[in-house]
Amino acid sequence: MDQEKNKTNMDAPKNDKAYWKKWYVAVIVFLLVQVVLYYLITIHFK
Amino acid sequence: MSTIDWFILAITLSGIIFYGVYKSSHTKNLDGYFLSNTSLPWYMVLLSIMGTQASAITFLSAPGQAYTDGMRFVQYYFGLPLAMVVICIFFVPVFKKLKVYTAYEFLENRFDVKTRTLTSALFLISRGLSTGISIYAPSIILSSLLGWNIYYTNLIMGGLLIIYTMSGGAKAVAYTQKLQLIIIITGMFLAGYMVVKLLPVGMGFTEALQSAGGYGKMNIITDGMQGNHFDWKDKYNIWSGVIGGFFLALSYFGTDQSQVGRYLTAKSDRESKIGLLMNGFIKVPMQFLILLVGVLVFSFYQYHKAPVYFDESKVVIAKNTVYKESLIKIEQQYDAAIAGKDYPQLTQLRNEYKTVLKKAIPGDDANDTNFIFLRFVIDNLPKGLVGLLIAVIFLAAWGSIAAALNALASCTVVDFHKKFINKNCDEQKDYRISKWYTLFWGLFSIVVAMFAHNIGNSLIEAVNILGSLFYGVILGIFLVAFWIKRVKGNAVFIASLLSEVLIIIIFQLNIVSFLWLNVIGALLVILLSLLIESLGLLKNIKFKSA
Repeated sequence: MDQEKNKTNMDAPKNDKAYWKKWYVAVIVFLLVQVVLYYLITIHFK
Repeated sequence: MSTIDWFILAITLSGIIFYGVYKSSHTKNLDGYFLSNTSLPWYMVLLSIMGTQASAITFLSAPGQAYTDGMRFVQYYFGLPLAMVVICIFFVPVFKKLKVYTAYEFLENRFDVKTRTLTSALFLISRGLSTGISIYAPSIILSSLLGWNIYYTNLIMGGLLIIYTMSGGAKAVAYTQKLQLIIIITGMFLAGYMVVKLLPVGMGFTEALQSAGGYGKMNIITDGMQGNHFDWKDKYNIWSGVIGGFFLALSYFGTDQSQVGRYLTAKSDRESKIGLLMNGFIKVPMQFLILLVGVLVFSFYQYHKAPVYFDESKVVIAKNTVYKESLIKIEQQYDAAIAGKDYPQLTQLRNEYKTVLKKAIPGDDANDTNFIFLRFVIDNLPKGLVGLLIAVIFLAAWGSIAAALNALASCTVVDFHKKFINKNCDEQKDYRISKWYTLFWGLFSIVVAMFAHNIGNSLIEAVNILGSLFYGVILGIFLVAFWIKRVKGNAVFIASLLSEVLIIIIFQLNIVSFLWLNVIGALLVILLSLLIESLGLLKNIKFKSA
């Protein structure tokens, strides 16, 4: 039980890091998608 | 404006003031006044961050900017989402861990008192001045609409705002910003819808964009190339937007107390981070949509008579001079060009009109960008909606000015008053003195607004240029603090002073567009402080510590 508890505590920061990493990647990917989309709109209406 | 417009405007504005004062009733100490007792959830942080950044200038100038220069201004925001990520990784955990009131307290922890004081002073100068411009922006609307004296208008605008900012503190600022943003988004959405609805029969949204695209207004992505060379003076292109915009956003959100103060009110660093990252998602599309309204207004005026000049108050002044005949002659040519559908001639005649206006009103740059959207609203939108959109501009102004006054007061109290004037204040005295400093900065901003009427260019640019003169250096200090451990306080202090002088010289020489000043300022501080530290240039100099 104690071992399991220790394991959970050790995993917490790691999971926290992975959690935020997903957020950061999502923000950057969303920006890239927008830039591509805006480029296509620019070409289309030129 | 009709009676119903006045009614809607009055109800909306007074409602916000009462709501702000009501929300301040539980604030009794410094924690409540500046940090909202660190109690706010992420969506309040998000709305507060957005409300602080999106000033009246955003809604007043951005559509006009798109009308005259096209959509490319949106690129200026491309660096913002990247900056949000960096701030979440490096800045937020440190600020929250140290439980600071202002971002600059961290610099004392890392360097020394003088570096903290210098950085806080740079912030106070730049934010104090730009807040003045933010008061002036909605004031020109009133003066243009009602023919009021601009100085009295500034006074009324700043005075009303101070009522709830002074009594409310950070919590009232955040809660009023929530209401303000809801009204703003509703108003801008209705404006966009109405422009499309007012287009000629058979012409829809896509056709309007096609029409504007034919005049180069859909230039969302530009590469800044002039022939075979990159144009460093080109203001908005993808490179200045991503790189310069990143540094500007990093400095603004990471080191400007008016923004740092917003996410310090969050109840945990998780809530701060989510608020900032959601801003990274929303900001670019939101700005895109605001600019799109300007492009739609441009399309609208392809089929309706556009004024030859959008600021009627200046035309009235100019027609009282010897240039009256010249102006009337151009107006007649303009009408003839519209009747003959000679569209290229229209732009030329507008420019000629501006040239005559400049001669008629010496010292005025005859720029009417800020008046385009407002003129469209007054002349074409139905009763009620005009009042709502005027309220939108007021509320946007109040949201950002309130946050700025709160931040200016917090820096003055925490970084100067409690540090140098009275170190042992009790809670009640702290709270009372904070209110007086809020009042002081409100009055200071009004005085600056009195002198802002001849800034020229678009107001949104004026604020960004002003920010860029200081932000790079402030950011450089923070970057050295976070990432270059071997640099000490004396080196970074001297490097910052030198860099600020160099930035002002570069700006005066007009070598590069203003967005690059953020990059150059930050790099100068880093390089000079490394150089000074490495060469040991200051080892025999002793600074007196406070």
